[in-house]
Amino acid sequence: MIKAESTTRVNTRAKIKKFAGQAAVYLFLAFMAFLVLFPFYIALITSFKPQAESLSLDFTWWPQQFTFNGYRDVFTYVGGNTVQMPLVILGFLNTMWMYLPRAVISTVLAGMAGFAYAKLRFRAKNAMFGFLMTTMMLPGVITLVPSYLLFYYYGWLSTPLPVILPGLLGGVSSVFFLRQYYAGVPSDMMDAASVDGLGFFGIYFRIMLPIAMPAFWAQFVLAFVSGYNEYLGPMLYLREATLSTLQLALQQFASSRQYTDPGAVMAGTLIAIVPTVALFVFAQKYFISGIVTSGLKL
Amino acid sequence: MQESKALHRAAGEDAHPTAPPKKRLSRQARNEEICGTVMGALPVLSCLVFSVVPMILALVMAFFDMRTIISFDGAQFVWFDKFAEVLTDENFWTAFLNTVIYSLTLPVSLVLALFIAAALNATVKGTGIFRVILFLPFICSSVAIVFVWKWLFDTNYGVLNEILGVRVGWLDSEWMFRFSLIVMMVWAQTGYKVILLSASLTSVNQSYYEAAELDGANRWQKLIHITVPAVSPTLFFLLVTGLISILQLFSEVQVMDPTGGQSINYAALTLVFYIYRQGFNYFDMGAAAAASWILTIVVLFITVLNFKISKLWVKYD
Repeated sequence: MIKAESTTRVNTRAKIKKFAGQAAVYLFLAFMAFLVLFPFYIALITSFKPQAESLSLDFTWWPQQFTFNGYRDVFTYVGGNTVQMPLVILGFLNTMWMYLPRAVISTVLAGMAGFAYAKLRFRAKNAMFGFLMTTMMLPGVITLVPSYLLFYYYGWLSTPLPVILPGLLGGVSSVFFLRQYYAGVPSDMMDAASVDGLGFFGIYFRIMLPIAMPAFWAQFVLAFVSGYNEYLGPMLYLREATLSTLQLALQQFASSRQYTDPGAVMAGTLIAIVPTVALFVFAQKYFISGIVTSGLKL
Repeated sequence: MQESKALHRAAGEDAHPTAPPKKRLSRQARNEEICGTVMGALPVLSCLVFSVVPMILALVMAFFDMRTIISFDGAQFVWFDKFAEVLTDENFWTAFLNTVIYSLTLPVSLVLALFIAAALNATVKGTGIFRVILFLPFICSSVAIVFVWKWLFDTNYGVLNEILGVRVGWLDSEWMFRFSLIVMMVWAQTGYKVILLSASLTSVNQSYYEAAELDGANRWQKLIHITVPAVSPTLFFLLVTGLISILQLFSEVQVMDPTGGQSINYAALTLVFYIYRQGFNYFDMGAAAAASWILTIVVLFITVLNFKISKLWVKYD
């Protein structure tokens, strides 16, 4: 009797302790989530404040007076561009046509290389793959200065080629990731296909690419977002206003307003991140699995 | 290189040995040889043209005093003068120091990420939403992040001073600027590490924890003796890639202060920013190339060191 009673008491105590532990963990996580979201909240409320309110010494946690002037400003700002179009729209369109096809092509080609490294036999395989792995360890900045000279020599300055071409034939980390993916796919699928008379390119495009779609989505989304957010390359090579990307447009707009109208600056930054945040929320599963697998398997 | 070999091993390279064919290849095998080479060669070709060639060119440029940023016209061969010029330039050493200081972001965010990941894995429900929220900064561009934080840091109207009830110039002095930038970067870079670490944690065998609990281990002991060794390959990956990227810090500081922090002892000048300025503001392409090579050597040295030290603490299974 007494023994049984004490065990229940111990059990209850353990339960309480466990519950308290869980509560502490959730509290900690909630606090971290709050810290992450806080700057977004401030950006959001500031974007709706009129200039006088955001530049007032009395801080307000909610706009006392709602205004869309900041957003209107973003969508009417033309800057120095010669195209009759708001700079942010122009920048968005440029970003899309420069980086969307690049992300698609580079992912498809990276997958092709990954497939070859995982499943095909050819003499230069190990040498090629080892070479790619080694270049991954090199800092990209080494190419910054000499590339300018080379691109001038190729006649690519004042064209978008310097930001499009270098990553086009397959990003190294995508190659690596997709090779890992294909290493886990059974080879008999390929044998059956080659009996059917498909060539190796046919095997890749008809069979290997479709079965690996989730992995491709993951790499594509990552490739697109990193292009969308690129700054240094466009800043160096896309000096002409008509070639401005969204990040350059944001930088130019925000710099011109930062001391006069923080609301407009915040509206600009929010507009610039909305497309990628929407993509993230929509494709979160691929995003996270892409990051996790490409990082974890190394 | 040893590194690439180690990576090969990690990648299971040995599982696919390719014995060089000794006899005449069959039609099928020859077809495979050709297709495989073509498919595999595309990224290699791209790397050769856009990485290896520029790298070699950078080495050549580092030995020349160049007159223009676009050609060797009128360039003079100056031996090691450009390296000497860089290494005796006060700004170079400021940039070097700044880069080292900004690198502190990495250990801080790694430790924080480890705690958050451990917390995520200790919960029963609702981790999905936390993951999504924590990951948000990773997908925002550095330009957007910097402008938002610049506003939070604002001396007169910024929310930080409002909350703390002070009037601190977060970006107005040398050390405050460095500190504030690290805070911002920890905010921006921790989520990605959390995602990786927590994924790696889910594969840790729960029985280790149960055994440790029976032995009376506390939370801290469990973290140090079970969690850290279990996720050490992921920590190592984050350390290597994180160092390579933070040693090349540029966008954040450049957007925060396009002058490089001229009025605050160049606190915003990082090595890449220094290279950028030498090349594209002062048109001293030789010095910029020399500085690029110095940075590359530093990065390679640290990476090799990292791989050597990893043998002491990284446990693959």
